[in-house]
Amino acid sequence: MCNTLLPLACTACLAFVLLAGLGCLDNLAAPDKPALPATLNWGASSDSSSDGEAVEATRLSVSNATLDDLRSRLKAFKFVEPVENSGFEYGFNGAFMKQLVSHWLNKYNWRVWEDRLNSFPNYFTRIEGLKVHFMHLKPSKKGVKKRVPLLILHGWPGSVFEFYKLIPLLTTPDTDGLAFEVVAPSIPGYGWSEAAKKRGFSAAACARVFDKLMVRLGYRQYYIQGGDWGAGIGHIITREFPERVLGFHTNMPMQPFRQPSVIVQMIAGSFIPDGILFSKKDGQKIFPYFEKLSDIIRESGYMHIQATRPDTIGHALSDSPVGLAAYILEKFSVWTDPQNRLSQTGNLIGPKAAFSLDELLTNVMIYWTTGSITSSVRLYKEVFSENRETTMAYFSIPSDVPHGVASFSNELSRVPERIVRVTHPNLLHYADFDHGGHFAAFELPDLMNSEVRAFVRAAEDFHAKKRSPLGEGKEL
Amino acid sequence: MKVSVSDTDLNSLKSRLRAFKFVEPLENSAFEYGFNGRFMQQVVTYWLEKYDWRQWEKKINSFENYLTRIEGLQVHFMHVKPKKAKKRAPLLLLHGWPGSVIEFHKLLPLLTTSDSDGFAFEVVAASLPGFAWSEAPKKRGFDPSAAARVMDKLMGRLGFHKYYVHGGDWGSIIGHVMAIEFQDRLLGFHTSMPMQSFRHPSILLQMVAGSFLPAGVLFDKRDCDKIYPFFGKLGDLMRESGYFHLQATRPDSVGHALSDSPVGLAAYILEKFSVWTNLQNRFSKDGNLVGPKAAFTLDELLTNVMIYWTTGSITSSMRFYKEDLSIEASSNYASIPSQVPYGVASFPHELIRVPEDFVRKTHPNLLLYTDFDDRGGHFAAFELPELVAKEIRKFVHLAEAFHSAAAKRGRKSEL
Repeated sequence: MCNTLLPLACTACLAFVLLAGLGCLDNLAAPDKPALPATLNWGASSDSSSDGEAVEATRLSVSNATLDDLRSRLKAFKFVEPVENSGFEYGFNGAFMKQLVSHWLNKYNWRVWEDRLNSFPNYFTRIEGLKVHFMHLKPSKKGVKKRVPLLILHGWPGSVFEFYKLIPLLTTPDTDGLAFEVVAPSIPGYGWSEAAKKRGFSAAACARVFDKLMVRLGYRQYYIQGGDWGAGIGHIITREFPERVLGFHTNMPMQPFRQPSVIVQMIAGSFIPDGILFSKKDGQKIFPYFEKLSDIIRESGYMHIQATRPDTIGHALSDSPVGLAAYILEKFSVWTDPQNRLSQTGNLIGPKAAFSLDELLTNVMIYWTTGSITSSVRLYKEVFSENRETTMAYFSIPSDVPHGVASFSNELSRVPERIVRVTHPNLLHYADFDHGGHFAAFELPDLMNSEVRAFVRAAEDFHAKKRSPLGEGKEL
Repeated sequence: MKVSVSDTDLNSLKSRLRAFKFVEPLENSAFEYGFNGRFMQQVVTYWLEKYDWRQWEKKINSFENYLTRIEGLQVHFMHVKPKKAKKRAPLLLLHGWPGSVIEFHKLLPLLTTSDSDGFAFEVVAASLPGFAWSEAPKKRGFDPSAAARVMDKLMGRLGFHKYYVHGGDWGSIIGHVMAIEFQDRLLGFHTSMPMQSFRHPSILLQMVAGSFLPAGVLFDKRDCDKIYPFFGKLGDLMRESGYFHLQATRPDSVGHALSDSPVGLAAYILEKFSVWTNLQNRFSKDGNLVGPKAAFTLDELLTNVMIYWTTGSITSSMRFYKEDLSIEASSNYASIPSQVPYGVASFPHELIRVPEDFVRKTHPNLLLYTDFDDRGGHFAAFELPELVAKEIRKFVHLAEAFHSAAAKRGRKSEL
């Protein structure tokens, strides 16, 4: 009996694995679309007023009292002596922090950057009980032959400020006359967008709020570009409101973990040599698996504490501007290039610096002056602890919406084209780059501008073909 | 040495407290998202208006404090000799994170007072390097085995060539390493947090089998409750170990904020005194840091925070987690056996609980293993000093008998 059963069982298993690997089982086991949060008013329970539809223009401004208070805190900051020869390996280097504080006190001019932020039109509107901040830019008519709405989404520890160079490039028509009407909101709990007072404001809740925002502004269909949380939120919007999304472009694609072919290929690919299952380039994105895993463990301490006890670090980060800067700027160092952790300055200054110190401090100032660091990190708990199954499920659910990916070499999550295509059959654009980090829009605005345009052109063609499959002017 | 904080420093602290930035908690979140901001307002008010550091500074100085230089570092320790004792044994007390020697302020007098047999301990309570008044290492690599060596040298310098050790948290890990590295010098090691060895084949097998066999078959119910449900306990550990992950990878990134904000420091530290005393405390609006279920007074808790604040030692204390470099080194130590007499007090709310049989696998001379069911969390010596004092005395009594018996056998074999 055993003699026949065992080889039979083995063959069945192998066949199953082969079928799975080839993708025949994909999307059969795709998780169901999770339900959106039941809460529809995230404001205080004591406030039952309704949203209204009003959109108010606003000027972002920080009082002199706030700036004076900040200065006295900076002057009194407690120096932390770094371990000898440690670079940024233990985190933000205290010796470099001294330099940073000196620049912050003596050179950095917030008013200049405040003016810059206000050179973009800023607005507030109330959605689901929350005052949502957003920038809304419409290209001027000159040279514009085609205008397309674009919702652009930031992440953590970033803000809409990351897009300050990209936005003018997007609203300027190119040689084809294509220009974008850009909506850049702050995630509720980040920057000037009010934080939820109730538990449960997850990425999915934010997706719904942002879709409502676009509809309120008159956009029944729109494109999305997002990185970090913006990628996750954009991903959810395409699953929940597919009829509204013309296309979704990201620099941080999500790994569809629960698709059988992905699981099989990942396991097989970890021991099959490069070039057979994955190209050498793609192989480098995911393997050696355990080394990449230990990289992830080294980089994800912040995520672990934020996903479990956000308020416990929130108090310190809300109370110490230097502490806030250390916590945030470490990410702009190591997430731009993990090798930066070996540098005494984290390459936040010097020839390898990807951003100016003023740009970096402006982003920190946004978190400081709005007191939003604690609410910003609570998002991790809402997504990873409270609703873990639901949010992760979204990433394995397929979508027909046109997709575009720009894969930068130092991005934290890199997914080969073939795997992205498993859940995105209409992956119209996938570009690989041998440079660039996590904050791509901030670091490489020109490149991001051309990437977004390349994708949108492909998506517009895709939509045109769908509308008249036989070509312009011909009808079925 | 005398602990003495300047008036300038106290005034600077007060101004930071007065200017602290309130963090509004989410509705109905208690301590589930971490330290509750509304309760923090209460704590700050108390800290400013009621808490008296000078009183506690006096208390710390009522124990004899010293500094001595070992391996390039100034090491702080309290050295308390019994007033009169017919028999005395040297005992090294080791604290952990985010604690300090203050955890032993009630335990110390109980140990240095003679019992009915005239037995008392001569106690050395050391601050781990990088904590409190013990200087922080400037170089990389100061891990638990380095700390173990420094502690042994300290005892040797004080004239103790054989001694007992009691420790919890890092104190337990360091004591555990000492029991392996200095087997001829440790008379015994007592702890409230024994290390788990996962590499013992029989332990692994028992863990796996025990996860589906009913209680009573492989493990008795009490031991079952210590380890299962395995994924539930693992989930608890995941939920509680964010700080660990962050400190083991980027201690300085959070260190700057904690060094610069006393309120932030208090939130970060006191969250542990809440949830590690009882995991259920996270469902309470004040984390049961006050009220009928509180295990410590607010004064005791703030004194511990003050020690970290006034010595500016939070960042160096957290770096210890990163220096414990490889999981492999730790798990090696956890699996290496030691003949040193062992004693365990197992409290119901300790974070990781190891059944007696498992401890015995690597510690054949486990002379005492006491289960407590009623109360007791991670900071056992701080929370239940009378109980822990009794346990240490019981253990040492057994260890002394063990050593005399061994000496008798030794003499017999020489004949």
